[in-house]
Amino acid sequence: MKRMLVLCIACWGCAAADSGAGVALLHRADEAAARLEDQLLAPYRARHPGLEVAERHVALPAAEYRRLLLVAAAREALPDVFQLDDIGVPAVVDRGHALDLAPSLGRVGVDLTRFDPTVLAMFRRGAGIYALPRGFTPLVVVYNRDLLDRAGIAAPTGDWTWDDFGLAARRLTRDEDGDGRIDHWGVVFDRRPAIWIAWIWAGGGDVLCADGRRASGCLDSPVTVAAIRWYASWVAPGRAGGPVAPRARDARDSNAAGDGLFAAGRVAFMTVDHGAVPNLRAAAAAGRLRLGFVSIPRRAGAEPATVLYASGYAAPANLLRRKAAVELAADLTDSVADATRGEAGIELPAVTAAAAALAAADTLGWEAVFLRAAARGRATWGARVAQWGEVEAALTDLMDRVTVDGADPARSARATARELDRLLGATR
Amino acid sequence: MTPVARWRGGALVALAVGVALPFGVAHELRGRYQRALALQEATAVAGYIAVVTPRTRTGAAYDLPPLLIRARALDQLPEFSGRFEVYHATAPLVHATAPPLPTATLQRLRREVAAHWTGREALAPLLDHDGWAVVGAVAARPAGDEEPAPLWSVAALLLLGIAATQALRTIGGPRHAWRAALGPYGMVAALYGAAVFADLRSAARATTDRRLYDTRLLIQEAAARVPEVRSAPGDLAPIARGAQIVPGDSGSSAAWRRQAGGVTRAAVAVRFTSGRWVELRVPPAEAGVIVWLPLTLGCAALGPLAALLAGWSLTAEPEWRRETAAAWTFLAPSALLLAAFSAIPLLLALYVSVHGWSPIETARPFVGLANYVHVVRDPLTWSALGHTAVYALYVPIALALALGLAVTLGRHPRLTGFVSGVLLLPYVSSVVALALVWRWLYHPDLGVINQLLTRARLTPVDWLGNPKTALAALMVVAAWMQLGYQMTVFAAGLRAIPRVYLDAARVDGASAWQRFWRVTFPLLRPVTLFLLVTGMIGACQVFALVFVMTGGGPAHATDVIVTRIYRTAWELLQFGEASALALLLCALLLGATWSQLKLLDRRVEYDEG
Repeated sequence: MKRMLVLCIACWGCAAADSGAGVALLHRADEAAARLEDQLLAPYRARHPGLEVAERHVALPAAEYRRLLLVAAAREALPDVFQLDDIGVPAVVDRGHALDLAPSLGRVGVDLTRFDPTVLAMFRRGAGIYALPRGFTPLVVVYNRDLLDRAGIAAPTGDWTWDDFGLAARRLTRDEDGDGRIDHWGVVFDRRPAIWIAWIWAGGGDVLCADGRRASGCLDSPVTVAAIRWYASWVAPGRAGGPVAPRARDARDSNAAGDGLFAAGRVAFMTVDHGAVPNLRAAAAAGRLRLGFVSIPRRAGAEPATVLYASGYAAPANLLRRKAAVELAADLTDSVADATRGEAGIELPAVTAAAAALAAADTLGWEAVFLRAAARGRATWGARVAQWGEVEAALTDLMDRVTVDGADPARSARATARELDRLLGATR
Repeated sequence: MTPVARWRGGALVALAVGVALPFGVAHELRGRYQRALALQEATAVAGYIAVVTPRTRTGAAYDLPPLLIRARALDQLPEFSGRFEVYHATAPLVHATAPPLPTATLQRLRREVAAHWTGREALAPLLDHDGWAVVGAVAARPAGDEEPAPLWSVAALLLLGIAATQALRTIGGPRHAWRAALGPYGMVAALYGAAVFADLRSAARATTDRRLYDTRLLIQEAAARVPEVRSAPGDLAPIARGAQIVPGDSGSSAAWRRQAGGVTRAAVAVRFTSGRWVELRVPPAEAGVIVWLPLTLGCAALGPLAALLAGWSLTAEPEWRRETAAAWTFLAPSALLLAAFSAIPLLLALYVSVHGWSPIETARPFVGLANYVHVVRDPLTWSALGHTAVYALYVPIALALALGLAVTLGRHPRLTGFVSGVLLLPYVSSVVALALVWRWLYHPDLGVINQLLTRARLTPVDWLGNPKTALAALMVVAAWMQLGYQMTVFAAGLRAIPRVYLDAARVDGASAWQRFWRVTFPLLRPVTLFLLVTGMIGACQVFALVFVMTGGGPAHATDVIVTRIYRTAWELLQFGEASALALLLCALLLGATWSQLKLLDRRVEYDEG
């Protein structure tokens, strides 16, 4: 059904692009975020009274939104301004569908130094800037303070390690009523590579080699295999002391089931991005959960690391309405707009000053944790590798083979690395 | 008026409509091509001016004297077919005495920054050097007088007039006479339809060629005036919007058509300097004309069809006429539905399966059987086929259960109705809703099934999370959903068995089992065959149940062939491979159905003696 929606939207994109009556804006948002974005359009609308801004939003996952953009781009039907997520950058920019905004930025007074450099780099190719970043998020760990307190475990700090985490997760996995079934789990196991790659990085490993063209020698390296083995052991029945995480059945379950269990107070730790903040904030405000955030623990001896995801606003390469589009993109990515989204909890502002102000104003201290984690973050592979969708599918299969079929991580990683090498063009 | 005159008049009207309609459509389309060409030329001239006119020292605006010189020089360019005017703000530059551009029009251009058709001419915004602000406009008029005359259509129309006159005169005459005249009439009508189409195609082709020649002239002129662009053809993009400039070799001055990445492109060689050539490519307008062929042929056929109907009506028996009309009335909706929703999609799938077809690529090259080879070599295809085969095993199991229930309850007609009604509910309910309910029932922690197991002191099972149990769990749900329907059909089949056979068997001393096995079951064979064949086809096409309950997981353990097709098409966007997979499934189903028919559709002969 969702795919039908994608096509409908793509068709709408054609109509919007051909309409010529105003500026068409497309972004990815649910209803609440879309309302906020509509408010952010108010200053632009006020400054351009005769210009209609046709705002459209789609509540799609990033991967499906990327497909939508590519279909629209192939039909030369991209809207005048569109949200471009990190994973869309290689396909949209490298195929020449996005406009280089750099020559126009001086006209609208955009100072690129105001943006977080790591985030900005995701949208940069050489001297060209193909989207103005609007926000970003690192992956961090959220924990249930009540469960930790009850188990007598101190709240984790930013320099904690896998050993600390493993110990805590094991102690927090409990059969409270003695019926043989686990009532409280240590952690949510997420089989989506977008989530578990952060743990592999924190373990010193990686799924692709530095040039992004090869997996052999990296995905199947001893340190990565050890990290995969350790992550998979969360749900391994043979693990000493039993599994510390419930197993999700499929990729769609990973998110919803994990969120549900955590919201029910049945899981102590969960890997989240900033998008989880609005719901968690509501739960904390209602007194249902007492929460804390901490960066992803690292393997002893490894450097702390996490994954950064970002989004921005771009314009199509063949655009005539360049002035209107660039002004709109600049408006929607200025410090006020970024700060507003940050306050709503949608994402961290890409404008450094707005992010710092957000962290300073946050009495819970959550935003500061996100910012500290982001300082150690690296851009997702999706921002560099055009075939990332296929790579993710192969990595999901790898984790499934290890956790569901009980396959040997080293052998599976080697097979997947060869498959990815072929996919990425390293071997034929 | 006599019936003959009435029918002749009708046939004449049909002929007139059949002649006028294609002409009207062709005229409208020719106008559309001309307007499109004018829009492209206005945009190209605006782009040319942006490339060749120097900017002022202080900003991105144009230096007015050079702008005036460039615009007028363009008007003198030999062989350039565009009839245009360049406006700086509202002032005309090419023809000094021309009326100025209305201020409101300029305001509109500044607001919308898009080329548009005003009703008389195409108007494109003239942007400053940075492509930032609208500083003027370029107006272009279609070159209607250069349009090629529809010679073929006129010639065919003359022939059509002669043939139609001959045919209409024979209506009401002897049967053999109007039949003999209809053949030539039909052929000439087809010729007329084809001629109109040929003229239309030729007009579209001429428009594309004109666009290529004019754009080439602008590019060459720009390269002559601004030598820097020769080494950076990308800078010429404003002149060639919607076209591609690729490195090329020397070639003739005429435009040609060629396949580029599986797509036909119209192209022309562009010479920068001695030894420096590029190729200018655009999508040919004539490529989209083919959709009008059925219309021109269909309209042209109206006249002969009306003549056929008139001749037949005047000679056929009234009853035969009524029966034929009734038969076609009943057949037509089904035939149309089959053609629209089965035959055409099947042909389309066949076409897509031999092409590298993806919605994110403009190139769709012919790849032969490569898609088939790829899916056959993919281990996931075979595992999906295996899972589909195993999954389909629920059909005979469910059939056996349904038959058992139908036979058992057959002795209690009221109970049969009630039980059938209850069991039929899942069949008539939404698959997605049922799948969600069962997903919950199977939940490892909160599901009712595991809670019952726990109460019975049995180990809970992760039904959908364990690759060993997931497919079986799906089969249980599918069997449950089909049971009521199959039981209802079996019950109807049982009621249709004549009582006398069973009584005779009872008198002969047959036991209950013997009566079932020797009498009831053989007589139920057509019903069993129907349920088995439709059930197997349905099982092989399962999608919603799997997609909602497991998504094909865990670890592809429930990946069936249709989920594979879905993922290949909508997640990997490989429509060519997905179509190949779909056609393989089609072939598989045909084979399986044929085998079942061969195995089970043996006629049962009963010796009445």
